[in-house]
Amino acid sequence: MEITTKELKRVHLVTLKGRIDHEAARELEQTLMQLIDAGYYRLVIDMSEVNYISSAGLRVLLAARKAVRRWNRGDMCLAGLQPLIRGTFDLVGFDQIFDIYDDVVDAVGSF
Amino acid sequence: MRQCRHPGLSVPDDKPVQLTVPARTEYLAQIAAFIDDFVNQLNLTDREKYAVRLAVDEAATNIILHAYGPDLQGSITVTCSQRNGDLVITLHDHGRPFDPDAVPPPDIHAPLEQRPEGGLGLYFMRQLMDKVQFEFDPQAGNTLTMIRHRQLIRAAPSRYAEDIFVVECRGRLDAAVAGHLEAELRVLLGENHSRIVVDFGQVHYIGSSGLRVLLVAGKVARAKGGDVKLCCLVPQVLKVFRLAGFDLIFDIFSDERQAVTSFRSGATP
Repeated sequence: MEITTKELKRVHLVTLKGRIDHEAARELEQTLMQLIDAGYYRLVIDMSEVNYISSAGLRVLLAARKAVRRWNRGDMCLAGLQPLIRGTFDLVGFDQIFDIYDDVVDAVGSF
Repeated sequence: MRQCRHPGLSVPDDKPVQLTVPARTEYLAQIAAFIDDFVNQLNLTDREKYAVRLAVDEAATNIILHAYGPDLQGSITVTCSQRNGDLVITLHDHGRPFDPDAVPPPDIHAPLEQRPEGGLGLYFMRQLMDKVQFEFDPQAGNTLTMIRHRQLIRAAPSRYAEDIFVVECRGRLDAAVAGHLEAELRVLLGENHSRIVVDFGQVHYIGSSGLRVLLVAGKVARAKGGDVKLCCLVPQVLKVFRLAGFDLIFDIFSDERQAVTSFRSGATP
C-alpha cells in the first residue's frame, strides 16, 4: 500500500493505493493518528485506488473517524470506493456509519 | 459426483495445493499471493475471488495474532482444493485453541460511537464462506475448514454419455454470472463440443442477460450440428423461460438423463 497526504484549503486529503491488509493497516493507523495528533481533524480518504481492505483496515478507519469527531472538532469521509470494497463495507454495515462519496471533489466539497 | 475430465478447463478435484509459512504477519502477503494463484486458475466471478481472498486473510491474521500471539511461534499450512465444484480451504496451526462461539457477532447496526472495533474478521469469514468449521486437537493441532459453493460450475462430460457436456449452474444467473456462463459455453463450442446440456437445478433466478447467452449458444451449437438443451428448471425459472417464449426455442427436460438421451433418440420433452 502507498499513502500520500496533501493539505488542501479546508481538509487534509489522504490518498491510499493498493492493498490494505493487517500490515498496511498499521501503517495507515500511524499516518492518521499523526495527522490527528497534529491537529488535523478534517480528513478525506481517497480510496479509489484501493483494491483490497481487510477488517484490520476497517478497524483503523472506524477508530480514526471516532477520533476526529470527538468534541465535534471535525469529521472524516471516504471517496471513490471500488464496487468490491463497497460490498465489504455494506456487509458489516459500514455504509451506515461513514459518509461515502463517489469522488474526491464531492467529498472535499462536503466540508 | 461428476469428475471434471475436460482438459484445461479446471483444476482437477484430486490435486490440492499447499503452502506452509511461519506464523508471522509479514508472511500474510505470501499467503495472499498463494490464494491469488489458486483463485485465478478458476473461472470464478470477481466477487467470489474477493470473498475467498478476504476470508483466508482474516483467518490467517487471527491465527497469527491470537492462536500464536506474541508468545508462541509456529507455522500455518494453507491447503486449497476443489471438491465437487466447491472451493475447500483449510488452515492448519499448532497455536492455542479458541472457542469460536465465544466471539459475539459484531453489532453491524450500532451507531458510530458505539461500534465495536473487533470481531469483524470472524464475521467476514462466516458471511463470505458457506461453511466455516473449527477443529481443535491437542496433538494434531487446529484445523479450520472453509468451504464456498461456487455460483457457476464448470462443464464436465455427462455421466450418461462422454461426448455430451453438462454445464451445471448455481445461484443467481444475473449479468455478472451470465458472462461466466458465456465464457464456459464459448470454450466448449470452440472445441467443437456442440452437444450441451445446461443443468439449471441450482438456479433460482435468471435475468435477461442469462437468456441472451443461451440464445446465442443455442444458435452456434445448432450451426455446428449440435444443440443446447436445458434440464432441471425450478418452477420460477421455468416460468421466466415460458414468458420469454424460450420453451419454443429450447428442449427442456426434467432431468439430465432425459436431456442426454434425447441427443441420441431425437426424443422431445
